[in-house]
Amino acid sequence: MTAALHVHEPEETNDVMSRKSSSPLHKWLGGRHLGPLLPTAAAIALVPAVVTNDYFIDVANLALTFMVLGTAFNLLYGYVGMLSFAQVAFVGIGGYASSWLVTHTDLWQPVAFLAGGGVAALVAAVVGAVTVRLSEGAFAIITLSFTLLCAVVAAEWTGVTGGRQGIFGLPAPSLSLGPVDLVADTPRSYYYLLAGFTVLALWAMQRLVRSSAGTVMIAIRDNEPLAKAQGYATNNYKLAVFSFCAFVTGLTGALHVFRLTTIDPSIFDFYLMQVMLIIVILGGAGTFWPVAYSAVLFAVLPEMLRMADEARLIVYGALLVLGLLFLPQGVGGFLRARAMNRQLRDMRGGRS
Amino acid sequence: MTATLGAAAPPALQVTGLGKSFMGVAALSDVEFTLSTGTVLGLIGPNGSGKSTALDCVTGFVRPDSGQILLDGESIFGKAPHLIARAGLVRTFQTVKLYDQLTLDEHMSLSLRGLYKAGRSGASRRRSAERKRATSWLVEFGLEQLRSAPAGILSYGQKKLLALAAVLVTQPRIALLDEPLAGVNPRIIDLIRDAILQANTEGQTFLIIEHNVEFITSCCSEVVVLDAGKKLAAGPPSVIWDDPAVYEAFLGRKGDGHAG
Repeated sequence: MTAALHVHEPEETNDVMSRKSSSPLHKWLGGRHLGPLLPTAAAIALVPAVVTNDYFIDVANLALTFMVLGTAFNLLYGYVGMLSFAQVAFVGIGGYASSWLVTHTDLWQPVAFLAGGGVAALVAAVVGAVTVRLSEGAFAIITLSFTLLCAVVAAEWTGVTGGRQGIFGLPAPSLSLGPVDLVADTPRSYYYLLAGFTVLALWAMQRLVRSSAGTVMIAIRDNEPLAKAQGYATNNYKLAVFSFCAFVTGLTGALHVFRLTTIDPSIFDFYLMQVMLIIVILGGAGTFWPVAYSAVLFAVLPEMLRMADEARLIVYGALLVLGLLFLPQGVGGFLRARAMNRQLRDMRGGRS
Repeated sequence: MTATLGAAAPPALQVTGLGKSFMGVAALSDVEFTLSTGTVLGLIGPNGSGKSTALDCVTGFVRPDSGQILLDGESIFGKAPHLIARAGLVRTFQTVKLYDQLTLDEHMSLSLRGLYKAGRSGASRRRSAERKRATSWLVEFGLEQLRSAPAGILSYGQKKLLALAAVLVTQPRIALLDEPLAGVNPRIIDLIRDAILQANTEGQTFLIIEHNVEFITSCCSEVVVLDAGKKLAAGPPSVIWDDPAVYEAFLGRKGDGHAG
């Protein structure tokens, strides 16, 4: 986990000073800021070769889902400082929208999935337009209420959502385009689909965080009034990130429910939100890769321990308490502080 | 120090009839002052006299109830803070505000990027000039060694210096400083005073809130005194200190004991 050493500070400034010439493709992908993306992508690609049991492939599917959900939530909470409890609502909205489109229309499936993300982003834009200007606490409470509202709507709007039964018997995700006909009907084939999406989503989110807009995001988290005083339309930034994260989250939700082949109002359960919170807080809010890896940990851990749901929640609670006691900034924050101390020591050494 | 421009040019900043009340309590009423290009205007007054509220109103952080605020003859009354900042009114805060996780270099470049008008003409040449200016401010303030360190580790005085440098580097139309000297040691006071005077000789216009009498007297060409949300007096510092009303507002009437 040397990831935290790449967390934005030392690298970026050096990079501005002495930009090395590299291939345009490399630059477009994110240049030196790619960091652990390629090794991580390689590891994700290797999983099906190493893991033979389909059950564990399914666990890996969950891990990839958590990776994207956790990182999207990290962008909001860790980078911009918006404690959004609506993430789980966007999972549900993306899931419902794509399920409805696939079962009720003849829309080409990939478009239906993208539309799931699109609808979530659109809803986020509407909710965000009203709420991003509010204080952190008010924003948290309104997004929480919004999630509860979504659960009620999903249960009652029977004509579209199928009520409490939900929509079931969803077909396997398929990509049919001319002679190509790919169907993700086994955990393994589904894994390839999700792996491709995960790497793409992580790349896009990392690119955003490492861009100049990403620096503004951190600035807004650290001191919003100052960002305003320096001419940044902070509400627009917040709204844009909120909608972008809703898009990624909604798309993940769509892929998630098609793996389960069913969706019902329990998708809005607070459990998923809780998992995202734990992943981000213990991983280290505002650090990119530690959070992504902690998502894997929290997907795999319960399966490794093979525990009942109730015991799992207790262990989660205990982990959270211990983490906050000993690593209040999460693993990523701890690593970042250590890297910073080393840098300061070097600076002092260099001066004398 | 005072650069008198042609009579036709409107003053850099003209505030008239500025009023603001919080829940019925008047924090400002009918405040007016004028700031001409190239000058340093001091805004002084006892604690709670409305100085910071006036600054918040002018920069859009608080929406004023009434009045008129003209920047180079154009109204900026009630505009959003980021738009006012882009229009050229750039401020510091009384409680020093920085981005703890971002480096000093990132502070300077964020400030430059946000405040410079979007026009990209001659961008690369201008950017190198900006970078040079940013470096020279950091050198002048003795922060150059720390430029790739996060601002959270700085001492209070260094934080104040960085906040000031981030404003000065953008060469705004008007720099508004809210108590730039509060809580820093004499050596840093000298640094800040020299920086302000140097920027002013290069044409920088300032509006400064400050309690330090010596600083006000030596830097400001004009002083506006506020007391209980009202304008009490205005004029050159030498005249202001002789005004009995000003004396009373600051120190209380003789025999009042410990007025604070």
